[in-house]
Amino acid sequence: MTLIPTAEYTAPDVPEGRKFYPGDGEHTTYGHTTQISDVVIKAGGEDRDRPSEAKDTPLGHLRAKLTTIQDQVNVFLTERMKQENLKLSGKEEEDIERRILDDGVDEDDVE
Amino acid sequence: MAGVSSQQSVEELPYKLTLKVPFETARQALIASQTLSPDPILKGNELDVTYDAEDTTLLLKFSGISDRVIRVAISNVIDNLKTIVECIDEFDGKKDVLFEEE
Repeated sequence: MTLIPTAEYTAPDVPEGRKFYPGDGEHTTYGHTTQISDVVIKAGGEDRDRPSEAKDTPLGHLRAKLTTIQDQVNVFLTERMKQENLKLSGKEEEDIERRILDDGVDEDDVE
Repeated sequence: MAGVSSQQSVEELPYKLTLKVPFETARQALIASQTLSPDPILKGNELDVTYDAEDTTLLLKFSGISDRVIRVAISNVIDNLKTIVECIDEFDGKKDVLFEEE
């Protein structure tokens, strides 16, 4: 028996939706987005909360595939959050420029 | 079902993610749903999560006010779900054992 988790995301700007499948690759219980930070790992730190290896059972494989889906969703949503922040910071710059041009506000006066 | 918000309707939470998790049996899907559902939703006006077992499939629906809100919720719930799956894998179908205090 193969147990395959799936996910589907929708948002106002993604009405067609985005689907997530774990795929055929190798799956592990050690997620890239849930482990300790790279800085700590490079400094020789040990992840004491490292999850146990997946057992060779249908539920063991399900746990590993859930980790893959979790990574996919985390990476996707984090990237969207970054894009949103870029849009917001760009808009702030536009607002400052507009205020300077329209109102004659000195750029040095803008925080 | 859990976290039905009273302050804000689901229609006002436009960022949505549905997770479908198949189990070996309907009983396992029900155990997972009933184990996750008591976890309270802290910001009901920003997030709504429902847990349902449909036959052998666990259905998790997240609706949030932003990508940030649902990202945090989804990752936490999947972490909890993996622990539940591991417990079922270890103990489901095993004989009950009483441990004596030494």
